[in-house]
Amino acid sequence: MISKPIFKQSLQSNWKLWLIITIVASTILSGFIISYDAAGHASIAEAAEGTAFSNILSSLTSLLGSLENFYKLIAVILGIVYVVFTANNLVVNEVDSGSMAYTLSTPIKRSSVIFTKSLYLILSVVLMYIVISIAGLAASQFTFNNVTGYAITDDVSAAAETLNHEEDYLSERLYLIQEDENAMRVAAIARDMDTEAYEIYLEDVIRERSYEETAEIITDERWDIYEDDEDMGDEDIEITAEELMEDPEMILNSNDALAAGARIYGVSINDYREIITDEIENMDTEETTKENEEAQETEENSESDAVEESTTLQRQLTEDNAELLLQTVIVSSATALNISSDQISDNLTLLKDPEALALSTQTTGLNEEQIRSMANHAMVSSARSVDKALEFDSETYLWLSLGLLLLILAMSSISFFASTLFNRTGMALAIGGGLPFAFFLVTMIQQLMDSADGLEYLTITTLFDTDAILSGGEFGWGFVVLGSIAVVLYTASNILFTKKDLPL
Amino acid sequence: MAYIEIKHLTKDYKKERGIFDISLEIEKGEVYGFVGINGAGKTTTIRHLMGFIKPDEGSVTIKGLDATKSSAEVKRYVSYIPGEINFPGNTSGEEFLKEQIYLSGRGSWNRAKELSELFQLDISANVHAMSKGMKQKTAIVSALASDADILIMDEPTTGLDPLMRDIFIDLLKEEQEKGKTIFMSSHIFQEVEEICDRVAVIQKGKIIEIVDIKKIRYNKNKVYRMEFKSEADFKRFIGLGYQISKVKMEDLQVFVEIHDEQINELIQTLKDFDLVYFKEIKAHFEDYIAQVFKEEK
Repeated sequence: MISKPIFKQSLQSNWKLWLIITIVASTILSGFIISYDAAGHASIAEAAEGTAFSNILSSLTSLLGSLENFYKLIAVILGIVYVVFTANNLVVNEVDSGSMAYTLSTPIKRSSVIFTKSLYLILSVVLMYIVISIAGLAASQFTFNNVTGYAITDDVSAAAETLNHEEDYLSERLYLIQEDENAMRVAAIARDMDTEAYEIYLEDVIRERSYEETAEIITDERWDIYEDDEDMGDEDIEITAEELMEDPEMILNSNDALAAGARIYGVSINDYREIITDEIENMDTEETTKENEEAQETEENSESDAVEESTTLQRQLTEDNAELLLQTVIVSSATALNISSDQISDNLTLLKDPEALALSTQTTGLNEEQIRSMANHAMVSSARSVDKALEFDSETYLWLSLGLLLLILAMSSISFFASTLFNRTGMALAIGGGLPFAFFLVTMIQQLMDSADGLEYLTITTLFDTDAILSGGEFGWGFVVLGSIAVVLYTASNILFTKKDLPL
Repeated sequence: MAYIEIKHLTKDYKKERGIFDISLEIEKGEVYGFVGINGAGKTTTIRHLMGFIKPDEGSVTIKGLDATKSSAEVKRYVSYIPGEINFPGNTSGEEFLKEQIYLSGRGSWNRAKELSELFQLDISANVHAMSKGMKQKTAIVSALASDADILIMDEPTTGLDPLMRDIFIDLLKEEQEKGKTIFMSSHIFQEVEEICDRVAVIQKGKIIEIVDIKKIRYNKNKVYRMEFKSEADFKRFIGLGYQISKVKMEDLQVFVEIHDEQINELIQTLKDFDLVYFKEIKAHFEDYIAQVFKEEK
């Protein structure tokens, strides 16, 4: 079926364009990744939280989300350029110029000629997008170290220098920073925090990582147990970090999970077991105190109004008013320190300045302790969003890459079909190039205007739903349809070329 | 069964274009010419031989194989020079020739080198950078070096200068002596006459005449042209009753058509006349074809 000489010939006359497009696409993707500004994206996302934009911006909060334009537009147009020209070169150009006569005047079957040529196009597209994806992975790994391990943030870099460790070594052992006062100081400064807030942040990160890693191990173990159990769906078997946080008892039952958690904390398994036991106990007491509080409240209400005075003076910090209070605190601090509130937002440690604290307590009615903890909380959460923005979700990346590949394969099948259908280069270019390009234009208009209703039905790029992939929605059917388009059109091209009249 | 057999071949492109009910039989070792003006259907017929297009009706068999269905297998015995030449890939002439020998599984590189030298062809040039003449030579070298039993050529002498054309004709004669079967189209009647055994004439998609060149070449009826010194002799000769095909009164010239057996008698007769000159007018295929076309119109 495959003719080696024809494959070689196809390679000889088409490798240059392949190389150029592959290099350009890889460079652009790497450039996007290297220049990714995690802090910037995190702050945009934070600012938009709770507003009407939060949905649109939600995809921007991650590294992969910031690559949407690459996957929707840049990679697509580069792919179109490659497949249109290559498909033309492979078939219609040889028919139109007459050079196909030489190929077909040898004892190679027509079916074998066209099969080899379609195989060349498919394989070259697959290889191109594998190379591009690997380039993206490599760029992300080299810039952020977030593919094989945890992203190296500024604090880790700074602490690594102080502690004289390799960055990636330290990023796996954050407890080493905790153990060294000096390292804590430089790391905190690197993340625009004071040591107090940074300590909370670091504990938070270590705790979450331990849950993530243990959840993964427990999920793996459950897979082995329940794999053949028909009553258990994938969702039932999988244990997420969140589920584990609510019910940490599961960790105590798995030695591997305990070992993994202990490694994150840098403690012995026994010590880690104690940490988990403590957490379980804390959860229990929290629940009972909550119940007690509720009981107290009802009592208080029935009692005299004398207590009310103190509660109004001592403002409560609740989730509802936290955002508003934080803004007030920032404005008061800015007034107290005589600088702009933007400067305060950039460096929240200023909230703890004595003068700022004095004015803030006055305006908000909160006590110093509450404002301090509010500042800490704000710093930690903004640092955590930067961490989130830097996470590299390998699974999402795989789907994005696969979807892009399927889309380009579908485009290539259109070009290839046109290339076998027509005998004149001009006609084949008009249809086989025009159609994919029209699809691209529609996508571009869609991206530019948010309310382009109905346009999604005009282009096959809709089947590659980057939004759904990034937000964990349903996108599998699109992939199936794209794959089917490619299979049908490539098969049709093969049959058509074997039967058609050739003007040679 | 004929070596190449075309039976009732019809391909209708509408508007009177195409080929209609063409039947030809080409024997092994025969050099068969296929002539007609541009657009008469020569290339369409040849494409059927190569299996590039499917007939609406009729069939082509080469060595007993269906040229349409077993196209790839037929190529084991066939070498081809297309009417419009472009080479695949982006390589030098040398690489193309080697590749073609490799792909067809026959022929020899030494022969290709020999032929290239004969045609003064620079095979180091890139196939896309070649002039029309160079491409034509490369195509000829490729076809002749392939050592196929059957050579199918679509106007193979286009783009060749007269010197190269003569070399090519000589090479074809060599191939013919080796027993190769050659089918070539042309619109140059002279070259067809020079090498072909038989010639089919196609016009508007139909075969209007199949000519045995030997019959023209070795025709025993010959035409002689003579000019007389005096009008009296001129008139006297006309009165003798020879078969006179043409008379040029003002020049006192006469064209006499006689069979070879009568030549002695004519010469004896002419002893009594005062002649300016006497020469044989050779019959040409070209004249013959011109005659045929005139009759058709």
